[in-house]
Amino acid sequence: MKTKVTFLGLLIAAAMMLSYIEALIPFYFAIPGIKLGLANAAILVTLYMYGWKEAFLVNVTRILLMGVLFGNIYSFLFSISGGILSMAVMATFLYSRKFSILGVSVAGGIFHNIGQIIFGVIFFRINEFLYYIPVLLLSGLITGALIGILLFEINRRVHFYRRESTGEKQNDSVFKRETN
Amino acid sequence: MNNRTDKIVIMKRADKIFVFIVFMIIFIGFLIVSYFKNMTGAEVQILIDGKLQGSYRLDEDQEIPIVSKNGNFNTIIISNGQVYIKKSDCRNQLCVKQGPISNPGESIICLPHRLSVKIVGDKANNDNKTLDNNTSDNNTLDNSTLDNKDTESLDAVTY
Repeated sequence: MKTKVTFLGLLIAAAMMLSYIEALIPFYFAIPGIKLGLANAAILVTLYMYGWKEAFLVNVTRILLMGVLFGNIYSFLFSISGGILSMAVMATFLYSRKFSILGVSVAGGIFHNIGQIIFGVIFFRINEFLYYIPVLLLSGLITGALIGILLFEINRRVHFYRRESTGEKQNDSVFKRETN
Repeated sequence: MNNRTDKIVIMKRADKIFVFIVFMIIFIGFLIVSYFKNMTGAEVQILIDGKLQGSYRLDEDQEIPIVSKNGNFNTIIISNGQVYIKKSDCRNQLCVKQGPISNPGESIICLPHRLSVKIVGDKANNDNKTLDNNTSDNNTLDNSTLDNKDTESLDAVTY
């Protein structure tokens, strides 16, 4: 139990660092909202290591802390709406056991953007956002695939998949003892 | 750690189907957006020295004579969703030779007169509105475009 709390704290710190690094990288396009989504890597690791509850916790904590530290109320609201929707969809995809980490990551990237668009349209009535949908879907697809490939390669070297949640036999997870 | 797990593949069947469907949605989405983009009433902005002199609807045909403070003269024509400078008393006549523009983002610049005509998708650049006699005109125009947007929600493309 203790190790789990430690690990979750570590993952939150990693997610925050990744968000911060992402803000430092000049990865800007004409449209606001296109991001690399590096923090999603930490969220996915949590999801695969522990499960959706812990990943949800890490995600919300990260967004809350980043909002308090660097953002304002609007960036926070946009992040949290995207974060919750992408979290829900990623968990659904993972627990369906039909998708690999690439599919889960792509779904996360796409639905993060969709969540933000829905939020913008419903609460701010900014209908221009609807035009961004194809571009944001494409960016979510590409960045999600990049993060998915990254995590796939990481998992081949340091196995972090939890056995029950992925449906994939994983005999030698380094985190096996902590997860049960 | 030595037990390599070859069974894990990077893309399962469901992943491939999912990515394919997303690609299709993106493709259709781009088609829809480009379709609406051609239909929208973008507006034409005329700027002298970077200051907005007036903005006009692209879908209303009209002839706009512009006389600046220095006495420079240009005649700008909007017709059939195109804008061009018909006459100018500048030295090089490049602005007249450039011909018509029709897409948001395009612009005609008459350098000797420091005049530029640009097409914007409709409510961009509201912030650089300055004090001139056309300001009230701009406001009414912006309001009308805003009202349009509420009725037909897919109205503006600004990217």
